[in-house]
Amino acid sequence: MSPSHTDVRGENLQSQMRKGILEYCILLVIAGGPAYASDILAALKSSDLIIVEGTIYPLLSRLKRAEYLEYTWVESTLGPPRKYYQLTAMGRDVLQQMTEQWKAFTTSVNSLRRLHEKDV
Amino acid sequence: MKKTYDANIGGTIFHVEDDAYIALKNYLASISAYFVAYEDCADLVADIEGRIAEQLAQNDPSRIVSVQAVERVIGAMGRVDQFADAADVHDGPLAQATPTKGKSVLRRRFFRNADYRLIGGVMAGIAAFTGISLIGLRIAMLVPLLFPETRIVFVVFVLLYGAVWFAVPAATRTTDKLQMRGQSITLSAVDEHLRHRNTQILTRTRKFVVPVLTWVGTIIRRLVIGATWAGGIGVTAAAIAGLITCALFLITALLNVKLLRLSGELAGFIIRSGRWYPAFALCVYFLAALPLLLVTLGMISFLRRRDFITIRIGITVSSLWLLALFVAVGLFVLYFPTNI
Repeated sequence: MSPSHTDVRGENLQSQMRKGILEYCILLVIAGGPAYASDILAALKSSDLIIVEGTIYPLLSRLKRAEYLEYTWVESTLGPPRKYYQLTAMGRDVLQQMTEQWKAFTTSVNSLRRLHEKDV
Repeated sequence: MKKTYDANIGGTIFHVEDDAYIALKNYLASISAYFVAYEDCADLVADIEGRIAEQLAQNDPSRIVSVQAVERVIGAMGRVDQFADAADVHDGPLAQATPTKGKSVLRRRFFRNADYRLIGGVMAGIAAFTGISLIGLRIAMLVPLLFPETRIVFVVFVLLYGAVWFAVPAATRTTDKLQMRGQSITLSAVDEHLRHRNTQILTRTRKFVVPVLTWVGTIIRRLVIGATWAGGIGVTAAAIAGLITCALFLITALLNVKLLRLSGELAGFIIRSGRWYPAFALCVYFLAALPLLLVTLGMISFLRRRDFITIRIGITVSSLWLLALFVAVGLFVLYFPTNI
């Protein structure tokens, strides 16, 4: 990141992190099988990850443009057809990498926390 | 009691109450304006609309949508600025157009600024384009009026104003308005603009000037209406007076022509035309009176806002007038004393 971005980093970092984590979570939910927007929302809400539902739409759009996701229209008995999202091959690779990174992060953070807690 | 609209929301028909309709429409408009830079903007809005439809159908199976239901759904979905951080500016295709934050690479465009207009929004457009104070520009335009020698400059200004008003479009779309001020078209700028749009813009100048102009306008309109009536009544009275005069002349000409004190040649004509004389007098009477009759009827039609001149009356009167003209000219040619 170039030095010119440091002034906004404090504010951006949090949203960047949240965005990254949310994208990871969306991929995780979809990895469990084809899902449409309401399924994804239900899963994310149950884990208190999102505040407003609108958040996931730009993220889905971004993941779709990055070709991590694809969708198919599926008929519904309850109303108009629904868009079911599923992972592409690239999406599965990315999810794999993200999972490894996430494990590495949590391991490092947890070990730091344990050290810190010992001090206290 | 509330009026409802049948609306197709995400492929399902709902009966939407009018205030709910407006709220939902504004909300969807704000979303599509926000994501306008995304190539899949339409898809994204359709997805959100679909989710809203699903929620609304769950809330009320009878598919009647109240403003409370819409507010609840919008609350759950969130305002555009609440999910702004997920839709970072750097995501969109505009990321290339705006490499560093807030820096515009777009050229300013000159538009008329209808939001701040007094007449055509030309001065407001110049103000937005140049950043010069609007009041200052308006006063500057009026300055040439102060000196008699420079008044022509004001006339030139007015002509230029008219030309610009005619030639330059008003900024109507959000992107136009941002471009007019030289602001970069970022998603947050569009959102910011849209949220301020719904508050009605009444500048201080307009707040003061509009009532005055309305008042002046009312007075002028009343004066014009009054003048029209006065004029109309005057013309009608004159036409009726003319008709009476013509009738008096005719009666005098037929009963006691000496009272008219005609000059030698006309007197000679009367004697020579003999028994044709009354016909000639009647023709002259028609030539003068029929147009006056039409004027009277026309004015009464105008003042009463009802057409008293039917086609039949029009044809009868004009044929009669032409006949009178023909007979009068014929008799005149036959009997007028000429000095050969």
